[in-house]
Amino acid sequence: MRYLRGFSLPAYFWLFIAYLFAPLLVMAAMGLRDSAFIAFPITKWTTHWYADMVFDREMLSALVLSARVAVLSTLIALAVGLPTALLLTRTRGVMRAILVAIVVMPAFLPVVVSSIALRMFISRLGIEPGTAAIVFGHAAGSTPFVAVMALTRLDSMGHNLADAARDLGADEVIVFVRVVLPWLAPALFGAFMFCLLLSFEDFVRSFFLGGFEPTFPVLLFAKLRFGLNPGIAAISTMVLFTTMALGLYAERFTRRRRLRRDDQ
Amino acid sequence: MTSTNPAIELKDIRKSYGAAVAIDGVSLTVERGVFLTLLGPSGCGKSTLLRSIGGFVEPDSGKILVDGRDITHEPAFRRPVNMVFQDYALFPHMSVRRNIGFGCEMKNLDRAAIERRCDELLELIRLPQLGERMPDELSGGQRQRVALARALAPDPVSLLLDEPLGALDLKLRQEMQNELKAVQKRTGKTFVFVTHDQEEAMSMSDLVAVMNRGRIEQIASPREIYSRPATAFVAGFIGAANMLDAEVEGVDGDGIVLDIGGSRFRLPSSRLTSGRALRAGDAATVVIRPEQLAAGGRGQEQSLELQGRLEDVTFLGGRAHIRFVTATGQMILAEAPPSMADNVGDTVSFICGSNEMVVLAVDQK
Amino acid sequence: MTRLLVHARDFRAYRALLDLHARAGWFRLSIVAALPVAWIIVANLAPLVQMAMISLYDRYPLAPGTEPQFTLRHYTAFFGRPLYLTAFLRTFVFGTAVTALTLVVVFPIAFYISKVAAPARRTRLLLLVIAPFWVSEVIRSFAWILMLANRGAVNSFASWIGLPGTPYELLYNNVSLTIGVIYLTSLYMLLPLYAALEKIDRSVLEAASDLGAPGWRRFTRIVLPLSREGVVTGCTLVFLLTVGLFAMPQLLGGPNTTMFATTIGQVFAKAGDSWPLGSAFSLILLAAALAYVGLFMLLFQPRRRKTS
Repeated sequence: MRYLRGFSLPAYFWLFIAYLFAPLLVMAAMGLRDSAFIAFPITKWTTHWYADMVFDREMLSALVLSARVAVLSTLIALAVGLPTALLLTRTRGVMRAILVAIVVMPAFLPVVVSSIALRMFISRLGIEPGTAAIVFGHAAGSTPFVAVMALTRLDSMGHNLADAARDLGADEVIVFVRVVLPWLAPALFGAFMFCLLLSFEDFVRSFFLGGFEPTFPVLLFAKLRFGLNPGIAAISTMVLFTTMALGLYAERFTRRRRLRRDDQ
Repeated sequence: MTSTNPAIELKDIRKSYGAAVAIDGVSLTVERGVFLTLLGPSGCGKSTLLRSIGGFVEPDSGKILVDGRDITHEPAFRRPVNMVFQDYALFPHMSVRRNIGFGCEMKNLDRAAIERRCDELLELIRLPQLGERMPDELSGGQRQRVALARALAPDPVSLLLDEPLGALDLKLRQEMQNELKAVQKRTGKTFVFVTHDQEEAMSMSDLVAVMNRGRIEQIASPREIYSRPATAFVAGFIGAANMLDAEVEGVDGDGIVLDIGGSRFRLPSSRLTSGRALRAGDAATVVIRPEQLAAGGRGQEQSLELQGRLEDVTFLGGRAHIRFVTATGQMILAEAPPSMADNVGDTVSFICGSNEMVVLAVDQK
Repeated sequence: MTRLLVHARDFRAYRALLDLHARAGWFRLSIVAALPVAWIIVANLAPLVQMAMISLYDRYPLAPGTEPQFTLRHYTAFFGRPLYLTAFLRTFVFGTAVTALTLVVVFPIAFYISKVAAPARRTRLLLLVIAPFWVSEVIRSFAWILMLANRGAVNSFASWIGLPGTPYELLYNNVSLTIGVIYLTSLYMLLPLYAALEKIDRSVLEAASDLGAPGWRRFTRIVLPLSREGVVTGCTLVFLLTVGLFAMPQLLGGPNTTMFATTIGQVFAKAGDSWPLGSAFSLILLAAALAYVGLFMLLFQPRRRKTS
């Protein structure tokens, strides 16, 4: 055990970190290869792939679509998930268990299954596959996370807090604006960032619900199957660093708050 | 305050949760400026009663009047009473000042008036320099005081305090008891205070209402509650009490003749504290506080003598608590000089004057 | 803002609404419930119900003016071609294997972060592990293609240090797919494990060693039982994720690693009676996965003892 602690476990941990990061670093390096083909070793280096990709029409429009879908679907998920959490706090026992199960169901279904179900359902509603359908699909996938994150936070709010505000003369609207929302703010911010990234990196829903305009992961998927070049690695690397930075920021933000709360 | 209406009137309040009765017909009048404590074991309905005054529990029937106005069906936010919660319930995202000013904000006072009121209250709770702190930067006692100030700020008719000292440690608790009492005196506000701690209730209140099973058993000054408990529950819940079974042999002009464990004894009828009159043949209970039993010698005509085998002695510094068992098998608790300790196993004898005990009618149920 | 809301109470209609809210339970409930309930029906329930219906239709969409004909033939079609059955069984075997592998790979990591590393470093180490998971499945697949291709980083490195027999066939087979999928599933195993391990009091481990338990016994008798809930949660998540994988098997796998989710996608996209068939296959996957996971949880989930 001591041997494990002293040497083996840390070594294994850093080996695992290497496993996690090596492919990403290799990809970043590939974007610097001065050639039209993807292959190792890299003997000549260039930054022109990175420079080109920033202005690549196709890539850019896919990225913009992904970003738009992410923001829209996240806003919808917040608008629906928040009242869902409020509803869940008012239920008890079996009723609550059933409701929670239904609410979180989309997070546990195989994504292919729910995507196909949604694809057939929107055609019933008369919606063509396309941006609106993707937004709907992503919102459906994100809502459970918003609801659960908000619910967790709400459960830790003493019920006296809202009562104290009512007692001091606050009506329900003011209680919501001045007490409940501020209390939920960190959870909502965390949920916002989480859903943004969840939507941005989604492939399956966009693949089944999308029309002619591809989101970034869908475009990348197509490129990976037909025609690779170091430019793909370059743009992927740039997207990777952006999402990673956003994810780290959100995670740090929520974890730091949690730590500070635990200190007390 | 010019109103002469009682601060709070409760008329036959009832509340049950399914089959469980929480409040079983409570009527109560709280005059202005009074410090009233609702005292009772957990589950006796005291918190439910308080929360129904605050507007967080809707009674099944009955009326609640505050300052003469029927508020039974008003939502909490329109009631002129404010509550201090057990866990303080300070808004964690607002500074101390914003917390205190919240109630005034809801009354739509202008900013300057709110600031003035906050200053006043910060002064009152002796934390004038902590206005900008956040609640999580305060100690338990400080939070307690801020909660008090926040509830006082909108100038309510009455303050409702729901076991506000429960979360504090003993020393801080005693400090806060004095402070609460001082604030009550200074502001002249009506306080309705809920606690299960009898010492707390006795040391702070003008009036104590002892509650049990959803009813008020007795409402009186702390002194009276202790020296003249009206029911066996009150006698047993507050302080230590020896309760002896007795039977009424007869009632004459100003006295009651009892048979206590085989010996006849006559008490002045003023010692009967329960409402119902006694008749010959009734069962009764005689209540004697341990400190009212005097060790040793033969008593006079007016004293009840209790004898028994000394079981054990607990030292309390200058005094000791002793327990002895009478011939009828009853355990009696008494105060005695510590020297008693040498006599464990011996027969001891105690007397109690007839004016120092209380007799209660036993309810036939 | 607050001032505005307080002023709003001067209007009688607003006051009446507030009163209604305070007094009428149905009004309170309907305000919070309306949107979520509508959403749950439209986004969560209706699509699945419709899918179940379609799977029973003979064909869909219906030709105008015709009555739907109900049939089970789409379900029996599943057993008709070994192609489907093979992919289905492969998916469950693969899912089980990946789940077990992920558990073995990730457990020491979770243990190291939660119990061995200095508490002050824990958050930082955890963030380090979490970071790559903010990247899309497709991008991560691509990164592994670059690693494992015949002229990829690994083979290039192997031939550079002079290993014989390069290039190795690393890509488009079970090896590459397994490596890539574990890359995807690690986080879903790590977080529940970490949460469970973090809760184990250090003094419990110290008490065990004080009572003479050597390292290995300490692990099997104390750490493993106490983290069981985390293990079960992690395995459930990973398994469900793995059997639903759609993109990665197409990118990193080969012809012999087709997973059932991919089959469903292909069936669904085909012309003809593709929607009823795709629906039936989806429901088969769903039911089988849930039954499998339910059985697993029934066997291993620690019973929650009721404490009063």
